[in-house]
Amino acid sequence: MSTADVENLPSLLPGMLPRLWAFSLRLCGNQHDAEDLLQRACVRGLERAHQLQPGTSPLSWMFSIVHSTWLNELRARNVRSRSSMEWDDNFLETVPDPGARNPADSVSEIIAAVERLPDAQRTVMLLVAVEGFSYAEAAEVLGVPIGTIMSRLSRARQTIGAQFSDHDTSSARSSKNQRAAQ
Amino acid sequence: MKIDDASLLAYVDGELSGPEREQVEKAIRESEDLASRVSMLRASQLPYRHAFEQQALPPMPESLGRSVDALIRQHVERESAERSAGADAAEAAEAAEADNSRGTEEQHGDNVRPLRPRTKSRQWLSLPQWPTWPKLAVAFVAGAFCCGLALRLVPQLAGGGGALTTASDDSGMTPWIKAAAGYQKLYTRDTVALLQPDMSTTATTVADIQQVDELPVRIPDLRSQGLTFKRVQRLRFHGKPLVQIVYLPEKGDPVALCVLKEPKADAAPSNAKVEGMKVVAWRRGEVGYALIGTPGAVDLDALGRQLYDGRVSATVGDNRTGTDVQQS
Repeated sequence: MSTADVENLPSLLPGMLPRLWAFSLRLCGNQHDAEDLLQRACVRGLERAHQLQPGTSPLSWMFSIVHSTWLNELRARNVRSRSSMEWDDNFLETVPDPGARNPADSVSEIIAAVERLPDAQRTVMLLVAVEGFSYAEAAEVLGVPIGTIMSRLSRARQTIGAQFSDHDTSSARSSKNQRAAQ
Repeated sequence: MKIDDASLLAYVDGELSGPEREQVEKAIRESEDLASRVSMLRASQLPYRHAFEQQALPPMPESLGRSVDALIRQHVERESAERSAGADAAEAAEAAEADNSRGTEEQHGDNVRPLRPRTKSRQWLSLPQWPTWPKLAVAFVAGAFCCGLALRLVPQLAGGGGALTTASDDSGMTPWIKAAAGYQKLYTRDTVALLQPDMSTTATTVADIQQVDELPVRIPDLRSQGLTFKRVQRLRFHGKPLVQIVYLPEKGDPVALCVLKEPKADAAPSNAKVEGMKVVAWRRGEVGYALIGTPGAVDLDALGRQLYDGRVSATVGDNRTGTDVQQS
């Protein structure tokens, strides 16, 4: 992150909020904690703005602060609530996916499979598979080596793959996965 | 090439070079387990991003947006104010207001981090947009401290002082212990796991602690209790020297032994929960000690008793004062 970026953090932060909010919600599993988490992370991000190293992406950096704040301060109190996303009943809607035979099932099964993972694997899946971070960026966000990211991701995907293989005859699978399971 | 989870993932995702791919394919032919794992990985090639995009999340509350806007405004104003007023002058004024009796910190050396209230923090609490988050002060503590800046503890939330007594909550713990616990709470295993203590730097720091801070501190050797020494830091709370010695247990989050001058009568170890952390505190020879860790990870009560009783040897500092940390 350049010096200019550091000085611009206040102007960059509002644009990052939607993604940081989604990440916070998915980490916490409830709105109340997500709100608390994101607020804390913003306080911290601004306080530490000058600490950013050149070459660090401001977005990765804010994700990192959200994650560490969640890990250190909030996870203990919401570990139970995550197992059933509190907004699911009211907010989880699925949009028809022309590419799948039973699109609603497919989407919700994928989300549910990720949500069931242990926290460390789930977080890596959220960063890499959902948020589109590279392995190196995810490693930076979580403060772990790239090899750790890859092995967590691999274990997460094996767990998910096993669930989708078990449902081999289920309608909630794309043709691509059916091929893979054969 | 070692065939591990990471290389299987790279293989399935088509990220291996030709020779590497051939190696993995050979291994898969020879191992049912590897073949099965590859099959699971293939079955997991799913449209995750697309799926999560369909997840209609509750919108971010407007109040949070306004709150962040206010934070940003405050930040910008503070930055420009500090630039114009000069950070040093502001620090001195705030520190003087926070604690008139503090010493001159400029003489303490550059390995000192202040751990003291700053009046500016109060502004945040008065923002109308703030929801009622009791741990807001901790957020400040965290933000400022992790980056090695002033620890911004809100004085009102720190509570009154008091003797160390057995307590079921943090009401009996003194403000410095609350501040130290709030700081320690931010530590994860990853925070210190990779630190390799430099014993010559450690010796210098310990010498400063003993001679400049005038605290008879040594680094207790807790290896037989499964704790590896990671770092010693000179901190400041209300201008007073506060020493933090961090250890990493075999499992779980780090444990800290914090030390501060407390000119009060000796007190045997007592425990409490402070900021969600387990704390065992005692006092000897007008020096207060606090062992701080995540609840359940390490038997802090037993450890505190051993330190209090002087049943632990030191790794650094024993030839300087002849006194041990637990005997001071």
